Amino acid sequence: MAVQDFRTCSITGLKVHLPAQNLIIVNAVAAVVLLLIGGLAAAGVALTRLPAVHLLPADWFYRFLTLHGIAMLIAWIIFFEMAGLYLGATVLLNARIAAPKMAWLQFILMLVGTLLIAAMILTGQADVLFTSYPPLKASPIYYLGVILFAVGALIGCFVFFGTLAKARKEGTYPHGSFPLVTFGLACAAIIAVVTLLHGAAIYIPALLWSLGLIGMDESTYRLVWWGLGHPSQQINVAAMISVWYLLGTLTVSMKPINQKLCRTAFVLYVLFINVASEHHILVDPVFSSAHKIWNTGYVMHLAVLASMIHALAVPAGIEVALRKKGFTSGLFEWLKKAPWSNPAFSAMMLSIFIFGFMGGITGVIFGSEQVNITAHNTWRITGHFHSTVVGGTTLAFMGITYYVLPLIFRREVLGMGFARLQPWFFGIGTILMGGGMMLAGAYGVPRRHWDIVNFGGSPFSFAWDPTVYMWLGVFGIGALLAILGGAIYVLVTVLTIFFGKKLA
Amino acid sequence: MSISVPEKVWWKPIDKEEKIWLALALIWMLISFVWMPIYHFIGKQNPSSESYKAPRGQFEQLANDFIQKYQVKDANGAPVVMNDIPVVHPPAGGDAYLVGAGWKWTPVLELEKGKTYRIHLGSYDFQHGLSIYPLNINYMVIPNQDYVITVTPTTSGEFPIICNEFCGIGHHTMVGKIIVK
Amino acid sequence: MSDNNEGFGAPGTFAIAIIFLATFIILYFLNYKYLASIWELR
Ligand code: HEM
Ligand SMILES: [Cu+2]
Ligand SMILES: [Cu+2]
Repeated sequence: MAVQDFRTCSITGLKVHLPAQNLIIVNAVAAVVLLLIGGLAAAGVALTRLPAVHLLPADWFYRFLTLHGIAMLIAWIIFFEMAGLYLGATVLLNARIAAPKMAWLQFILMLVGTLLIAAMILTGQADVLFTSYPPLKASPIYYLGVILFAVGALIGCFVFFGTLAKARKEGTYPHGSFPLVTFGLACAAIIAVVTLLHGAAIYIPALLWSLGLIGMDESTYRLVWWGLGHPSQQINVAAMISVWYLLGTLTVSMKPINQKLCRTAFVLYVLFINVASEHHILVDPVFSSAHKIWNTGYVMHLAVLASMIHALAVPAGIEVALRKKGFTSGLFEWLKKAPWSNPAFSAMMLSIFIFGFMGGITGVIFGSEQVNITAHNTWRITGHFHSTVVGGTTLAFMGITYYVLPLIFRREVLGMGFARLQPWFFGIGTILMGGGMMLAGAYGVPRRHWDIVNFGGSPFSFAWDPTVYMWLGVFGIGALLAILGGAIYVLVTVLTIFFGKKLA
Repeated sequence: MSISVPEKVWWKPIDKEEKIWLALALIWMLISFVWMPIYHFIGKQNPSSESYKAPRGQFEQLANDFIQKYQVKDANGAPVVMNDIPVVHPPAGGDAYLVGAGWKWTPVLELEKGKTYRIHLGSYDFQHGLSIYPLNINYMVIPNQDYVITVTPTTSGEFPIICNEFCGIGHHTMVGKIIVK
Repeated sequence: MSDNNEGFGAPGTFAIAIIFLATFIILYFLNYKYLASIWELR
């Protein structure tokens, strides 16, 4: 292990372990490619759901929808998180990556898994949507792909923990506690391990079932599947908030307002969020109200408390940092004079706003036991999670990309003018898209539906309240804006990687 | 900085405003939590906890018996159907069956306003999502389960029902009806 | 780079947070209000 394994970043002065840098690069590139694929599928799905266009035939609509869910929610986000974990454990701690070979195995397994899944979906052998509720059955190769992907991700988490332990043992960073961002990522990784074990508990039986070896109870599947599906979203929340702290520091030199408060809030996630999975099955048979309330109420609301703490702590840290720069007059001068021309900053602020005001509030409300009767499986839910995972997580990850490009890829961002607009297109697009979905859903517009106008010619077809078409229009405008924002992001990133000016 | 190691002792008291926010957030979380059990006592719309294991064949049998017994007859005594789906008038206050299967909702239920019914939801094929328009009432319908929801319609009219859980290629054609008189 | 405690200096954020909480509470109960208008379900 020679010293030339490292380079020193000329901008931050941080030491970068070159094998770790390569791993960050391949995972980030895979993430962006999958965002592109998921985005193409999104365009097909969104244009089909717009009654005026109704682009795809039914079978391809459901196929594109399956692909969109997997490529976005699973592949784009988790590949990006792997890059983030490696960055948080090595660069921020001046450390070398532990077990780089295992880390490559992580990447290869996740890539092979993704390819298998995509091949099955596109050849019509997995028309099951990403939840694959039995008795809908996909080809065994589909479930195998998911398992390979999950094993890869699990390996990635252990490489992360190994790297932390090694850094601590070798004393690569000054003393004591991890930086807050690394701490937050560690919490995300702990949640990930528990989540992935749930994943094994459902996808291995599902594989055996699709091979015809065992039976499968539909209700049990739902419970265990959501034991995977729910906490996997909390990985995204913890990772996103870590990225907020990172972006705050990079864009405006923010300090956490109180380390105790921020870290305690992360620990609350680990303690409580893993359990609260039953808000997905509130109007299911089998489980009693008492059980559902306990699971989603007590546990989820304590996890939400953690989010409320971050909701104050992150913007407060930003405000304090900006006030220190002299923007002290009135309540909001700091907001007006903030560095909005930095795309990473605007992405972070929009992400915080959309996640909090739209995604967060609706999540708690739709997840309350009784309100769920009027929300379950309607477009309200789809609008909710496009506010969390698209306007929140995805936008935050896009923001940090504008730093990863110069710091890790060592290229100057190309097309900065477009990059400046990108978060606004994507953010405002998501607000309109998510808002349109939620408001249409409030009238009963269903999710996962090919034809809400003629119902495929069903004799019982009926007319919606005309207001619904207005909200569908808002959704459509938002979807197109978000797609435009996503396209600019992918273009800027790819062009920068290939043609951006090399930095020393 | 969030990206550097914090100073040795970072376990520090929190400021007044932070304490206020923490207290407000905690109180609101507690209220929104206890509100759910409270609503079971004061509210009239609560998810049902009543369900039974019901193998596909057994549920199909019960539903067919129910349809046979209570199907509406016209003036000549011929059974009434609507788009080939039997129209059924269950006894007020009694049990009714609503089956999501074969990309159809069977039967068309005819209910009386203000009367209470125990509606058994079930499926013989895939998972379905019962969604009653325009009220936006939604329940899961799952094979091998008999999910009993106790319903009192408080408004009259025709209420289309659709499926909002993907159940295969005919999913979007799955429209039915509840009539409240 | 130490995080010294200089007191809470973010009144703007605090104001936004209060607006957030108020929005949250209002929307929460508006949803229950709509719920109370539909059929009785047990
Ligand atoms: C470019 C922006 C995007 C657009 C226009 C878009 C649009 C849509 C639409 C129209 C649906 C289908 C709704 C339905 O039929 O029920 C959908 C579903 C979904 N989207 Fe997106 N989306 C975008 C980005 C994303 C991102 C970035 C993610 C995740 C990180 C994501 C995750 C999902 C998921 C998980 C579903 C649900 C699939 C299902 O119900 O099986 N979307 N999206
Ligand atoms: Cu969840
Ligand atoms: Cu369906």
